[in-house]
Amino acid sequence: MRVALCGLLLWTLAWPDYRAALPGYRFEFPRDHGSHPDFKLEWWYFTGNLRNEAGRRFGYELTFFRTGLEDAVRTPSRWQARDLYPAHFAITDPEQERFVYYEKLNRTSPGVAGAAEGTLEVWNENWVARLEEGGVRLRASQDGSAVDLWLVPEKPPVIHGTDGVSQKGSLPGMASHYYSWSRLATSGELRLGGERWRVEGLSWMDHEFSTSALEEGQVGWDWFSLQLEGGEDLMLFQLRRKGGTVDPRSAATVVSVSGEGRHLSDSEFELEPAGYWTSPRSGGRYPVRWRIRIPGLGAELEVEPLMDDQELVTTSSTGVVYWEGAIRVTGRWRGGEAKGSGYLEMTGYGGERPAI
Amino acid sequence: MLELRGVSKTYGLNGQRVTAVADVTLSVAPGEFVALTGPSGCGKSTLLHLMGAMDRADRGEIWLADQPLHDLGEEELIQVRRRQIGFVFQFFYLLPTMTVEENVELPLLLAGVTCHLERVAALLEQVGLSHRARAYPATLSGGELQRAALARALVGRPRLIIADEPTGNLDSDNGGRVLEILRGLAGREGVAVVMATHSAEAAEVASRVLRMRDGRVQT
Amino acid sequence: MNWVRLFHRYILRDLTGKPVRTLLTVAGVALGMGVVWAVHLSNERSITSFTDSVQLLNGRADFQIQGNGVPLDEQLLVQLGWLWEVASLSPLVEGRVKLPDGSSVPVYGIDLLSEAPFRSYLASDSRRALANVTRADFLRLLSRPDQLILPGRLAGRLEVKKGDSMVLLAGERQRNFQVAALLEAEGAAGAFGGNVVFLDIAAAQILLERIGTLDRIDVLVEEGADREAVLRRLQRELPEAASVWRPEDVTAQSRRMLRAFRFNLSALSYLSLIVGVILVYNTLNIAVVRRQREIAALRTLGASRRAVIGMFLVEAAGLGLLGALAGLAVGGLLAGAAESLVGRTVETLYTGLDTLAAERPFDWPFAGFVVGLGALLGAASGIYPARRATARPPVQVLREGFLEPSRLRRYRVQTRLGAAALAAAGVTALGPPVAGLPLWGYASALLAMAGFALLAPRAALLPLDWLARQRGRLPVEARLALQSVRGGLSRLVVAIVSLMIAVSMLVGVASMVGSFRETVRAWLDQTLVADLYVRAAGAGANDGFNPIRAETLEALSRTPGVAALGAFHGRRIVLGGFPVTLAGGDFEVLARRGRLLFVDGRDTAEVARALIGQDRVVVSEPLALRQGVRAGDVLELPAPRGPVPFRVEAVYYDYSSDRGLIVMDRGRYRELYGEDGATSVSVYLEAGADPRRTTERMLAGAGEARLQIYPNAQLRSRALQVFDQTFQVTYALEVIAVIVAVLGITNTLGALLVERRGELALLEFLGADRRQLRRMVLWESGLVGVLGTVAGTLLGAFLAVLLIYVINRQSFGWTLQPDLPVATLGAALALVLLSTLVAGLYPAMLAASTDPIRSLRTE
Repeated sequence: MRVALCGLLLWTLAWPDYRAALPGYRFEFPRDHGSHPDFKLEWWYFTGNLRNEAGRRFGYELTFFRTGLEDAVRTPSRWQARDLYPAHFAITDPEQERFVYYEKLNRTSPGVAGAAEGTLEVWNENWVARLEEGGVRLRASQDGSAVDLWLVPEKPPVIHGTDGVSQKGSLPGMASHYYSWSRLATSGELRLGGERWRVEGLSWMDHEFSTSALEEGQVGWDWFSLQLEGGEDLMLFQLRRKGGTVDPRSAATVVSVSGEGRHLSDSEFELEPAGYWTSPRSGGRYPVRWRIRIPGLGAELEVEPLMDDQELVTTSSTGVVYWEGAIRVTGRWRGGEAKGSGYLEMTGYGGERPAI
Repeated sequence: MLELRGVSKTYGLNGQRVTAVADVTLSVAPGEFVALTGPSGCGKSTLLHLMGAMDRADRGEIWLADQPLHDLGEEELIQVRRRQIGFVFQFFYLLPTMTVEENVELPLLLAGVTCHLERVAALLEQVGLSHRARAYPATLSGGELQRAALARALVGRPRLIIADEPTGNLDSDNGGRVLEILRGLAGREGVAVVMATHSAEAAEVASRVLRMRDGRVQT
Repeated sequence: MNWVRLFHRYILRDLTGKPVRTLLTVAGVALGMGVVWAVHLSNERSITSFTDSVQLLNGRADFQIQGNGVPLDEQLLVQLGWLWEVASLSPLVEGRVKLPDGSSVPVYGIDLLSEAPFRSYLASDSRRALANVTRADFLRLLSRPDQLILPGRLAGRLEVKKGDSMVLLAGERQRNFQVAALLEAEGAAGAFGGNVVFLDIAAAQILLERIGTLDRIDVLVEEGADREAVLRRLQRELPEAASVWRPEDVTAQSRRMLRAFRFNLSALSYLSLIVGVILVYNTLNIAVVRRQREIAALRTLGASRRAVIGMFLVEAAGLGLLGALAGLAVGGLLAGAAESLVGRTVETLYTGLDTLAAERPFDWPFAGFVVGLGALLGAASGIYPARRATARPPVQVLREGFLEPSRLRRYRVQTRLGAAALAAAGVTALGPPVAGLPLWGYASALLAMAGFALLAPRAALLPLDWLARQRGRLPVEARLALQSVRGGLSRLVVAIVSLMIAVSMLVGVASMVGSFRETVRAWLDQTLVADLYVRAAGAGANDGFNPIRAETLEALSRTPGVAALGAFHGRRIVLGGFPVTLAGGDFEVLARRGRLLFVDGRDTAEVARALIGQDRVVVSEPLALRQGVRAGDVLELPAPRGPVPFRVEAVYYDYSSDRGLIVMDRGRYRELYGEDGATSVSVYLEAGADPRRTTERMLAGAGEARLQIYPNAQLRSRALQVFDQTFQVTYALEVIAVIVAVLGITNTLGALLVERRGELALLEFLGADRRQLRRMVLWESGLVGVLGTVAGTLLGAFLAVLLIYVINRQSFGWTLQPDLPVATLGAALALVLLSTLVAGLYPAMLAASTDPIRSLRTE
């Protein structure tokens, strides 16, 4: 449930020119890895926890957004913007307490940004995610920070929600089509501050497309992707409403070792903040530590960030302030000990800034 | 020929009124050579200017050959100067940009007289400067300069010559020569000469000596 | 301390005691300095603001990728993918549009999303610069092709607000736009004084009919990356049609283009300063001569020679300084007028942009320079008078009666020096241009002025002596005047010389401009032979953008009454570091109907036929002269698939622009550049066809295309009108120089009269009346005027030759047929003479109002 884009879109509910995400959608791959220009909003989210040979941990986030513009006019110019392509790229280096992030904002234009239909190929300047034979090539670099990774899916894509939709609001169409590659074996190179390392680890890919997802009164959300050492993965999100209540459309998916997804509704899990960090930049107070309880699975998980400050203030692309960072998981899972890593996203805590 | 009756002239100077000439009555006959003596500031120059139609009296009458100078307008005074008066100065005042000849000719030119070259030549002959006719004043000696100035004063056949310290800047030889010419003029040609001077020698040459003190002529 | 007191008592009191003279001197210097300052300001505002604007629009880019006259394929960005690793890129489309008020402004199609690092309106302070742009406005700019951004100042001029709609005319098409945002006049939005329109790149591609192409890609290399390596790789990997430039190369080109114009304008302004400086010299000269005896007295009282010289130098410097300070004020006023003149000239000759002058901050350094120059030149001009005043032993001075020894000087040494200077002027006139500037030509002009100034007194004696021999036939006042001028020549000569220099500039420049105009007129008569000329309505001056489309040309040629169309398309390229126009012309039509004048006298039809279908070109004379190109040479001309060698068939006379033109056959041009439109079309009518009716038919047949159609006569008169506008500045400069010189005459005569008041008094003793004195002074000023004017005319003739054959040719590359504008010159000189008489009025009044008794007594 990747969010950052809502800065551009939050106030609108219905888009006559675009398709709504309705139940009954049949996913098909690799077609649905590609772009869906008849939906207004789309993103490809890559996050991962990596280690170098010496066991030093890193986190990365590389996200490509596409957002269709209202009343876009078709003209012969290939620069005529029909979609905008924001993109975010971040690296977490907990050992040195470093967190760097970059952003881009472009439109579909020759050589600059775009996304293919029919297969996974999305790029923004020199940031690229491309499905190749046997895996996904991921590349991004800026100002001495770079990833050049090879991602091999260990499970098939898992579709979230029910009947092809992940419902986010009370009305039909307030939903998205949402699937994940919850476990991608990752290897490659990571650069930061002039140093470079060979790295390996696990990545997570989310691909979500919709036309109008959110509803008035929803102020933010907390989203978790967890990869447990036992081979199971877990996606959870809760939508927060004004006044601190939790929206009943909050949901989760448990992905089995073989890749089957099981939908959990909001009544089947509990989320509880366990520690806070206050951003010196935005002033936002983020619950960076959490306790997750899923009674049905005998799960009692503790989540803590690899470092506190993994906040992005994306003034020049989406205009959203959010926290997106690498986390580690401990606790109990199905009666045994739980250990794992993952990514946490929190929005609606810091002040939002206007786009551009 | 020249008659002054009760002539006075007062200047305003620095807020004070200075009486330069006070109630002067005198007459000068044709052919007479009058010397005017007295200390500096006694009013000699002012009296000369009044006689020479260069200045106007505040009171009194000045008659030159039956013309009431005190009654004439600016234009008429100029005409009087042109036709009847010649001036000689202590510092000669020859125009440096003109030759001797041209300097002498000048008053005639100003008066609009034509055909005068012979007159100029004759006068230069008379003052002994024929050989310097084409010379510029800068190349002349003091005596030569004053003789040239004399020739200039005479060129318009004036009835009255006003000379202000004509020998004041000359050595005695040259001074004597100038006085000689002046006296000759008065004697032979019936020209009246009024000469202001400090020099006793010069005064001796005159036919009459008037002393001035505080603007008054003492008799 | 004592010297300060002495300076105050002796010099300052004298200056303030003679306010008119002091004022005249200061005014003269002020005018001279004012001209320098005004020309500088208008240069800055209109020329520098152009190059600054180019720089502002270049922004912070490290490199620019350009097509050199050929548009870049936008797919080049795909090939340049590697560049993203080390740099940011920003594509641009440029053009010109006509605004509703008829002005032509540059339009920039920018990628609003990638602009931020490059140009400051969207940089970190973007929220301020785009203050009233909402997110919706911004998104609309990206998603719709009919949104534009205006600098607020331009919007104010056009009286449009945000949200209003307005029409832009590009080429032959017009489109409706909506004002999406207004910008503060900062950064790129301040370029061209804010007279610039910004569009999103997509809208620009559509408006300017540049679908699929870009004009420029700006490259900003990442901090820490190896710039030179990026440059090398770009040079290696770019396709033939594209090349990479540093921004300084680009600004250097526009600077180079304007340099000769700017240099010549400045040079002329400094020449008028010379006249002002002579005035200070004059004043000082007169003052020290007048005060010779006082100076001698001071020295006998213990003042050293050096101290006296020092005081006078300080006085001279002070006068120069005051003049310069006043000049800043005067110049500020003059600049207002000069600016629009200079701006218009730059526009018509070079940029083709209606750029209102940009507001510029007060130029302290140059103001400092002007003030310093004033003081320095003042002091320098005081050296000779001050030294001369103290040269003779004081005792000797005190002994003398009248002031100056009045032996007529014969000026032997001066005359010899003058002759030498003239000879040197003759030799330097033959010097070649230095870096494209006629430095030797101006050196020759200065030498000629110096030579004439040195020869002036001796030469003036010739007519004066002759006149002196005619004395019997002259009225007395004239003879007196003649004698005093002859005698006082050594002092009056300064006034004569300053008038001479002013008049010479007037004569020289007027002759040059007159010849130029006559040449252009004859050239227009001979080469402008078509009946009608057509341009796209949205085309600005000298503007090759947005041609008339091929289908419109088709329609035009089908119009009844049209016998033939000569279509011409030009594009801007850079050749040998200079911006030039590369064009394709219809030589078939030219051969049959048109006419060009070739330098080697060849027949138009013969040359034209030799070009058809060949890799041959004709080049215009300015290009040939500037770049040393001759018939038979081979030029490598840029083309989309790499440079193509073309042989120069002939050089032709062209006075339309000094930019330089290269013209090839249209067929070859179309093959190479794929361009089948036209930036201008000459239309030849069938015998008996009515031009007006045909024009109406052409307009009707052109459908949606908006065209401007000029009949032959109108184009011709417009061309001459533009020409005349172009030279208004030069005329203004000359007139000011003459005014300064006339002030000099008043000043000199006035001062000389004060000095000669004893003489004047004496004349009154000798029977002169006041009318005579007045007339005498008027004769004097008339004599000075005639001498100065005659000498000035002679010197002016020499300057005219220099300007026509050396300076103009080396600066702009034009051959001019000499042609004296007799009537204009006659009238101008008569006016100068009249004003010298007017200059005598005040001194004449002065002469007639002195009190003779007092004057003689104070002698």
